[in-house]
Amino acid sequence: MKRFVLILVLITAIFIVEANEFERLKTIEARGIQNPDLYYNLGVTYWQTGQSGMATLYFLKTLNLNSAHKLAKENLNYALNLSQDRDLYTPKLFLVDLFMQVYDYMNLNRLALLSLVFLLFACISFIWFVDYDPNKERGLPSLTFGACLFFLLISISFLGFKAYRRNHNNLAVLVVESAELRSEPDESAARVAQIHEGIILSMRKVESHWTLVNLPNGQSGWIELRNIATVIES
Amino acid sequence: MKRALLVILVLLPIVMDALSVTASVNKTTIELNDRLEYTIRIKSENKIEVSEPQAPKLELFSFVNMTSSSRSSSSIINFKVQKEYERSFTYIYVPLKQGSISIPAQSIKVDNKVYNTQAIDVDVVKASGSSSKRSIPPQGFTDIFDEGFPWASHRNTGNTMLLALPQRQTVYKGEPVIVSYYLYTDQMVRSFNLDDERDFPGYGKSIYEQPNSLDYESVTHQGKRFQRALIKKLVLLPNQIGELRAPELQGSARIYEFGYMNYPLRSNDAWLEVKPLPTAEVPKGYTGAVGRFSVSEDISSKEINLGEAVTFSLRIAGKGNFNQFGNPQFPQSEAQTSSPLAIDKLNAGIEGSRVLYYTIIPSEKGVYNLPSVSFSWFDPQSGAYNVYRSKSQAIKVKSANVISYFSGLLDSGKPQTLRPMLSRSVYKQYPNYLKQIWYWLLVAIILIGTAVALYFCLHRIKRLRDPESYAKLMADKVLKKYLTEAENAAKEGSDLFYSLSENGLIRYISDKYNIAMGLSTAQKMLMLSKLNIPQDLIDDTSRFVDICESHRFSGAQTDVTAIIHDLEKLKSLVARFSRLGARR
Repeated sequence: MKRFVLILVLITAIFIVEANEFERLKTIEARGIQNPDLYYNLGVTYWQTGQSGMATLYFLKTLNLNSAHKLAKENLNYALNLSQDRDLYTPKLFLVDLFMQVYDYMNLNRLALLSLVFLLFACISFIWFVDYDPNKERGLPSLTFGACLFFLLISISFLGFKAYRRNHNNLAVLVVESAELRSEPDESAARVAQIHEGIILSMRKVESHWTLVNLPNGQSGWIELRNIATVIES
Repeated sequence: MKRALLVILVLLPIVMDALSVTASVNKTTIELNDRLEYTIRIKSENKIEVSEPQAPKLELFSFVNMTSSSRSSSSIINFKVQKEYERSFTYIYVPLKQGSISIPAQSIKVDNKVYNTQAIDVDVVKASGSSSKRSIPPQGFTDIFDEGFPWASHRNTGNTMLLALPQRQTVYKGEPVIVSYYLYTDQMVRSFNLDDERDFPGYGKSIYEQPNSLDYESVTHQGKRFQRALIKKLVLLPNQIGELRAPELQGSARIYEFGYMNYPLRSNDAWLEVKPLPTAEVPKGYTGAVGRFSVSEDISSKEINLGEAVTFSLRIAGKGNFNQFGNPQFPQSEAQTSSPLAIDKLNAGIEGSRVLYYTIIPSEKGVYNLPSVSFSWFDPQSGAYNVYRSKSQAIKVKSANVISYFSGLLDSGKPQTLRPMLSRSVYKQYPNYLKQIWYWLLVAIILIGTAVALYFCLHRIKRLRDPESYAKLMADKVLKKYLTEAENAAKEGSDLFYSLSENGLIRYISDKYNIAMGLSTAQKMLMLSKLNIPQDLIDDTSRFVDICESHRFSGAQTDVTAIIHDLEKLKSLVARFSRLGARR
């Protein structure tokens, strides 16, 4: 009997601690703190409380801040693999997948530092190019400068794109158990598809309390805004 | 006296209450081809709120229909306005056979009070030839409701009923069975409201199908034409043997018959017989699967490097109790084997497929023999157990290499478990380097440093490409500097003018014609003459230098006019040298 009571007390204590932790995380978030680890932990907590939609949303929020967050990426994949609409996610080609891995690894801050390094290299190579003996062939300095300039431009392009996407992320997640996609922004319009909690949607435009979204397989339709939560809070 | 007072006190509220409930019939003697109208009438001075009373079950009669009406009236008696409200419910019956019955007293609940009607005796007699025809023709349900169906006691309205139809009457324990609930009618049923679903012990259940609207189809039932619409399909998974009663649905149909009326309906009792699974020849490792399944297997690769994983998948497809059996475990072997990851594509948990993924990582190089996995199930159709055994396959495990070390990089797409929470006591605002001042300061330093370096580089390049032009350029710069300073000294009448003028002129000549600064004035003039500089210019320069030296070493105060005059001489000399061009 004593053992039973002890186990009961322990279980209750664990639940209380978890509940307290959840409240603490939500309080920190309410203070406006944007931190990938905070979002990740919130995602895990939402998952543990059975809210797969909110969990997916918070893993996406984590990756929006830091695309190189490995754990968030793995948990997002885990959640998507278990979602009812997993078949809608078309598998990527190997090279595309490889590129995306590298692209994700280079998060905004890493890209910013890389751009700085390429800028330094480009400047040095340019000075070398200019200062090179005019009576000699300039093949090596021009090649070095060209390569550095090329990588600098690529790096700056990705940096700009990532910075823009971070502030204009149009992804959203269905947070209700299921919902129907309509052909028009009207409840009586024809049903396009039925989708389930946790599916990732790409928002295209908003009209009144409806939004036009794209499913992972490219299919599009209208859904009521109250059914979804967006990665960037408007 | 006390008793009388008590009786008065008890009866007073009843007497004071102006509500009355009465029952009446259109005829107390009914012929077989006539109809009986039983009316319950409620009258009150206040508005009446009462739900429809259930139609009394009468022997000798078949219930056909029910109508209700309400009425209100006002009258002035002795200058006092009196209102009266009335609700009446009329139940129409057709007699089935001769005899006498007593319609029992009905209990009607109005405003939480129960009122009783009086009992009425009715005789059914043989029809006379001159008797009037029936006002509502019999619908021919008599035999259906009272004799044809065992659930006659559960019928609710004349020609509308809710039927529970099990897919099979006899099933095995654990075998999924679908029970369909149909609305059968030949009336104008506009809608059906499902109010309640009553469960009984002995099964687990899930919804198989539930349409949103009444889609009718024509069917013949018990020799009669009906329209029927599916209300619901439930999947039952029996978990105990013996008699099993299917869930009972309750709802109301909205029927149009001289106005809309709501008819309560309840599904019939549907029973199933649940048989136990055979205890003989139960396969080893049987985990409770019952159904008709087809099993197949697949392996991701038969040749891997040490450290890499191979994925073995077992696909179970068909119809059965997917949610009630355990997944087969991989036999113990030298390799590390994960618990199966199950991916379901199921309808109502009974139809579809389940794919089980096992991740296997061999621990040694060489040939790894993949052990056989078995899955067994009971097939209700054949009444026997079936066993599927995967093929025992050999996997070639080669030595690890650099590529295999990195092979795990792309495997994060299919994690097996949820990663845990991170232990963080403090959460700081995540920095964005693009918004940090130090970042843009570094960018500025790099750009400014480059600009400075470029400036020096360009000078160097100029010197290398055309040394003479570069020397002239530098000389001009020096001269300009000294001239400016000398001019300022001249304006102030300072003796410094002469030292500045001499220095500037000599340096200018030295830079321009590449003459060493350390030579004496006479030697410099000699060098100029060797460079084919006009002699008059050399003489004028020599004289000017002498003037400067004499003023520098005399120590006497010089007149300002003389200084201005000498400044003009200096400018004239510089202009003449400038016109001569670069080195000769």
